[in-house]
Amino acid sequence: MILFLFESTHAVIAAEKICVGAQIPCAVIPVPRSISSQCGLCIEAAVADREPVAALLRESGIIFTIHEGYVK
Amino acid sequence: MKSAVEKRNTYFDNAATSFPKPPEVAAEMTRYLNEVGGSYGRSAHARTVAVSRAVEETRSFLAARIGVTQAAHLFFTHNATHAINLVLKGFPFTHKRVLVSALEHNAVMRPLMRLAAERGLTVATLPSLPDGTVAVERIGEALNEAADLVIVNHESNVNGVLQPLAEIKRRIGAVPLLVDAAQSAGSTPLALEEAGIDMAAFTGHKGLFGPTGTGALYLKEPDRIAPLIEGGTGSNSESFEMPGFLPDKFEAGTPNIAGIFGLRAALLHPPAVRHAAADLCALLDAMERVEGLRVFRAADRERQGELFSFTSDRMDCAAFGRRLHDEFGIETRVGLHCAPAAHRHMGTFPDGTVRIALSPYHDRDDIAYLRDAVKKVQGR
Repeated sequence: MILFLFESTHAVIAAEKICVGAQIPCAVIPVPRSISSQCGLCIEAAVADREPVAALLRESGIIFTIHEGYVK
Repeated sequence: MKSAVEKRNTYFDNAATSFPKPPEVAAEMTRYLNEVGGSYGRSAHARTVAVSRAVEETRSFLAARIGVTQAAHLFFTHNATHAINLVLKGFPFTHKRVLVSALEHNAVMRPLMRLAAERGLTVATLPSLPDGTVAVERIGEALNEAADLVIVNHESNVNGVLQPLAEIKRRIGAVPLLVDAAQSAGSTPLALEEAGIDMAAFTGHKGLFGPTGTGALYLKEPDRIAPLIEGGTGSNSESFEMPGFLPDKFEAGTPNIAGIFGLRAALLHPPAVRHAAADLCALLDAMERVEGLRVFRAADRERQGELFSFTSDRMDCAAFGRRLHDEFGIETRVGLHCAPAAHRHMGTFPDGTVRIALSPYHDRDDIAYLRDAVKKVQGR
């Protein structure tokens, strides 16, 4: 799986809305402790959807980072 | 005429807080408290994710309603007073000079007077017409001396004057404009970005028909303002510093989630308007014809919001308001309406006025009932 990390809950929810609108499966999950000590949310998606999701987020002006190699 | 089961709407104090609310408001607040639960952005279980979606949806709905495309530039507050204080306590005053309209509420004047006492700020009034409308062609006179900020109450909570915001902004140019939209939001169309408005304060419980304890602040350039309070945001938790990103920078602490659920319902279910603008004009004209009444309204009908004030030559405003209430069940607000500056400008300080504030729920019969009651109390 791949994780999309954001600055704020506002951005997470906006990103989720974009994915749902594009019919790209995703889930809002807690940011794994191995990645950050923050208590925030992030979006989990399939590795195959990395580029489509990233393109949509960039298009919407949402700032994000990608964490690869996440195993549930 | 109303049916026997349909109660006459005698609540004319909608400038204090609107009533009734759309029934969906209480239903959604109850649903949140009894069924939904969960916080905003603090966890990742289904309840909190659902709440986070609802809060962000509300932010987006409100942004669309006020003509803002960047919803992240809209921050939830407790009310308009909180939003105004956030700006004034976090604004970098360099010239230490602020210009205000003649009709400002104490939500603006009290924090400004504290800043005047503590930081040497000077507060000057913009050139105004007799009804308090900013004299836009004379704004340049006030700008001969440098100013940090201009503050304008979009709709007076005393006489209902609607200020020409876009024209004011055009005239003041680069000087930031803070708009107090407490009375106008919901009842008057707002296009903040189009008008170039820099900052605007809102309350959710008046013309937007949400619950008390909800409000918002719009900042075109959020970097300019420091946060009013610091605390947990659910983000950057490893740091003692407040996040610089939006909207977290201005939203420390758990928001009023039940209230925001109610506000969302209000934005989705605005009440249908049961009277025409002409009905308000007819009421104003009728009251002005009553001997001994003096009506305080906008000189330009196109700039009249859904509220106004009056005084009587027969009794003081408190006595008039009490008789309206006791004899006709009509609820008004009398006195200074937390706006002594406006009353000074109108010449009604310190006695005050009786204020009438309509809502979309009033129909022509309600307005006629009010008109006749005022005439009877005046003895005409």
